[in-house]
Formats: sequence, C-alpha cells, structure tokens
Amino acid sequence: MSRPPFFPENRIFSLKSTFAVAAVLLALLGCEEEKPRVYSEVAFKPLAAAGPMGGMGMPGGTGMPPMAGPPADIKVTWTLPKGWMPKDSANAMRIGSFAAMDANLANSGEIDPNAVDVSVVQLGGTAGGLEANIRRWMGQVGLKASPEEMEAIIKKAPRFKTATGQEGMLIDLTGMLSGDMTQSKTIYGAIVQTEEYTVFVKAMGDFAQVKKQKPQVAAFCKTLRIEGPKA
Amino acid sequence: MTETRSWRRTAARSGLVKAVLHPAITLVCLLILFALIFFGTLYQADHGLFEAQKRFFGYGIVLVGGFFPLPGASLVIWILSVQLAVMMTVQLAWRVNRIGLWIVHLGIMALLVGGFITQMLAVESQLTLAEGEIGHFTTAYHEFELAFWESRGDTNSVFAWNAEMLQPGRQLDISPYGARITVHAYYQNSDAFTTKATNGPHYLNGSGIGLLEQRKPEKEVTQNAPGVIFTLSEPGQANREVLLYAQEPRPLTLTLGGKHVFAQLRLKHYPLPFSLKLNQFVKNLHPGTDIPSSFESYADLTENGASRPVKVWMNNPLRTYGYTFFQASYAQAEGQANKSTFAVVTNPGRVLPYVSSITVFAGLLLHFLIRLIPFVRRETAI
Repeated sequence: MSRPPFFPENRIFSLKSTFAVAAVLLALLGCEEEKPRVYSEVAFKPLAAAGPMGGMGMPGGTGMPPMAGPPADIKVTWTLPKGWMPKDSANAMRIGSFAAMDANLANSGEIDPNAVDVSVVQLGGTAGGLEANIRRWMGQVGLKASPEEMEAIIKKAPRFKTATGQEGMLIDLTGMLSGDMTQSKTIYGAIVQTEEYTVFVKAMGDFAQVKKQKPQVAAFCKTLRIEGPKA
Repeated sequence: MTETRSWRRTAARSGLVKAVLHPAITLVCLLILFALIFFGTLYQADHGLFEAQKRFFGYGIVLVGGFFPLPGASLVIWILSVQLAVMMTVQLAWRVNRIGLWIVHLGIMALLVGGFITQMLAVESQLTLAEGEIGHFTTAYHEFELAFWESRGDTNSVFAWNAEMLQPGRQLDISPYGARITVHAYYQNSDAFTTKATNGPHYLNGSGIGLLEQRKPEKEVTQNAPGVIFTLSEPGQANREVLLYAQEPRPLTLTLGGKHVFAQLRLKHYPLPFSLKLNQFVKNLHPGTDIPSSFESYADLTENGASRPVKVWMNNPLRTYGYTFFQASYAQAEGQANKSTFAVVTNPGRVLPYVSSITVFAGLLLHFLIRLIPFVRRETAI
C-alpha cells in the first residue's frame, strides 16, 4: 500500500506554493528601498532671531562679552572632573580657571602641553543676549554665522540642567567649518542665562583636545551649583 | 469537509510538519529571545539603543560576547510565526469547542502581523517649531538622504536618494536633470577639513571642505555626521567631483540640466499633507517649585485652506491623518521665541496590538467558558 502524497496536488498547501510564499517573504525582508524619493515640500521659513537684546552688543566681536552688566550677587560652585587642574589666570572676570588635560597624564603627574583652557565667568543680566555671546565665541575661533545659521545653532544646541536646576545650553563650535580644523582653535562651552545673571563655561583649545574633553565639559556644567541672587 | 480533514491529517502526520512543530524549536526560540533581550540590554549600555536594536533585533546573526552566534530577534520571531501558522493550518482542530483557541491564536497572529507592519512601514520623525513658525514637513532622527531640489516659489521639488543607496561604486541617476552620480565614498560618521588631501582631487563644496576623514560611529547615532564623495556626470559636460557633509549649514548650488539646483546631504524630510503653526508653548510649574507640571503646545492645523486649533500636551498626542504628534521636548531662552519639539509617528500597524490584546482576551474567556460549562454540568450530575 502506497503512502498518500505528502502534499496533495492542487492544494494551496502544496510544496511549490510553500516555497513560493517563502521566497516572496524572504525577498520582502531582504530588499531595500532602491527607488529615489520624489516629493514636493513647502520650504521652511525660520523666524528671524530677534529679541529685546538681539541687536545690541558687538555681534561677531571677539573681546569682552557685549553689554556686560555688573556681576550678579550669586555664588557659583562646581565639581571638577578627573584630570582638570585649577590654574591662575590674569583675567579678573574669571571665577574659575582650569587646565583640562588627559586623565592619564594627570594621574602620572605630567603636565599636558595641549591642555584645554576652561573658564567660568559670571555676569549680571543677560550679558548682551545669547546670540551676541555665541557670535563673540565664534569670532574668537574665526567663525561667522548668518542670522539663519545662528537660528539653527541655537535651535540645535542641547539643553541641560545644572545641579541647582537652572537650564543651560551647550554650545558646540567643534562641528563647524572654518579654516583647517586640525590646526585651528575651537570652543565647546555652555551658557546658563536668567534675567538676573548669565554664567559662561568655555573650553577653548586645539580641535582634537577640545573634542576629547567634550563629555567632561558637559558633565562639569551639570555639576554647577548656582545659588542666589540674594535679596 | 472530509477531504479537508483528510489533507490536514495527512499533513499533520508528515515528518516535515512534525519537525516544524517540534516543541524543542519553540523552547529554543524563546530561550534565544530571552538571551537576546538580556545581552542586547547590556550591549545598549555601551553602544546606544539604535546599534543594539540593529544588531540584536534584526535578521542577521549576532555574535554574543564576540564568539557565540545567535540569530537576530526578527529571525526568531519569524520562525515562531511560521510555527504558529503551520500549527493553525494543519493541527488546531476544527471543532466548535476549540473556537476559543482559534480566536486566541488569531489574536497572537494579529500581534505578529502588527509587529511586521510596524517594522516595515512605521516612520518616526520629529518637528521643531518656534512660536509663530509653520511646519510643512518632519525630519528623521538619524536617517539621511542625498537631496537635489529646485526652488519653485515657496515649494521645493525634491529628488532624493536614501543614504543606504550611497555605496561605493554605485551609479545613481538624477533623472529629472539627466545626470548621474557615481559614489566614491560614504562615511556614516566623519570629520571635515578645509585642507586638501595630498594629490587629492578638488571637490565642489559650498563650505570649502577639501577632505573627509572617516570616524567611528558615535554611541548616540543622532550625533553622527555623515559625508559623501561622488562624481557628478552630465551629458556634454565635464565630470565634477562633489563632496557633501551633513553638518554643512547651506546646500551646494549647482547647474544641472540648465537649471539651478540645490544639493545637500541632510536628514530625511517627510512632507506632511497639512501644515502646523505653533502659536504658543506653555510650561507650567508646580506651585512654589521649578518642577514642571505640564508642557502644552497650542497650534493651528491647516489643510486645504481650512484651519482648526489643536492642543498637544504630555500624554495627550494629536492624532490626525494617520500621524501622531507627541509633545517631546521644548526650548526656552531669554529673548527668543519658545520652541516646541514634537515626536511624529506614522504607523499603519498601530491598532493591531490593541486588536490582538482584545482578541486574545476574548478567546481565552470563551475557551474558559466552553470548558467551564461541561465541568459544571458534570459536577452537578454527580
């Protein structure tokens, strides 16, 4: 007596159709979208960055923070990351000055000749506004930005909270293009701005070193404890 | 009916079907899924969520610990799905008192189909607007496209290739302009320099970039800065070597097919069938604290000239035209307009997990009742 066929003929469950279904499924899984996308979109029109202090100060200037008010009556403290050494600075505006160096070198007691210069500065009020201060930093490393580009920079800047809950903005100039990035100086920093005061953290140094220190700078900014202003 | 029973019985007795439905396969698959979730979670801590998802939950083979091969989760789930389908086709009895089990299995199948649809068709993107701004498209989180477009008044006509297509040696037509590109390099993450490589070609670039260097992909995939180098060929024109970097703020302006065309390597754009204008973003605090109690976005949704006010706030997304807008983030700065960021999701399989849960519950309840009634009758008869 012969065995009945495994898959009877003319059935949906035939061996051929099973393999066909499997092949189609595998093709679906394996294929990638190989066609171009063709679409129409309404062009995005960002609003011009303008605020009460937007046109003041020295946009693009490289010196002092524009429209800097007197230091606010606040107390700023922090926790230093590993490898950061306090250092003297002739700049009286600084309330903190550090050499951010490779943690391995710091542990071995060596001085890192490429240490990144980190400063903490506090000023009263909005210190000329966010845009003017970012332009000032950009000017220090030979960068310029159109109003649209500045809008995009501010829009994309990651926000963070200090240890005492103030919101700050991380400003990353390392990803911007100007001059030879392997040789030029660059800045990675943060601005914490309220109506009463503005606190700046700025890490400036060689491109590669600053990029390496970015996580430490960001972590440092989150340890800032800003207390006050006193009544 | 008898014939149907006959072929089902025949198939169920076959060695192949018995092998496919072997409980050991189910058990091994479940153990593999357990291992993938466990090791995938550990991997995520060092490599980020996207890389972990891609590596452990795809279709490839994963080397756990660098040496122990396991199939990806999607592959394992397919095996379980095939088992389920075969079991329903040839083994699950066609009897009235089994209808509850049928409903349960159909519910599970709906869940698997929903997962497949989500994996294949769901799109996640974002939209950030300042107060007063109008959004007409959303932007991908980390997927890039090489876009060429012409500006026609307020509208751009875009022709774009997905970045996955930018493989070295590949030729891609830019058909609206009769041009073609030949890809030389695509880096998922890279550094750009204005210095020129020694003896390297001069690249056409809008930001003065002369050199791209490949960099290890970032743990957080959204921080990657891709770059592409290609030759642009056009009939009757000299070839042009082009370099585009994703962090360039401006697109490159080209003349293609006698038209002014913009080219940019950018995050993928997804046009919306409507526009959304952010009127106001409100952050409310718990009284006497700096702790936010709610984030609310008030916007106007406009389609075909008709507008209606909409509100998006935490845990209360806007669902419209198949899109779901979640309140995802915000930005507030002195002297600047408030900004609100929406996470935007389109997922045709969104409803299926709910359908599945209800179906499975209904099936289990029905099966319970079907078994309960004879049990009660038997008990009362004794």
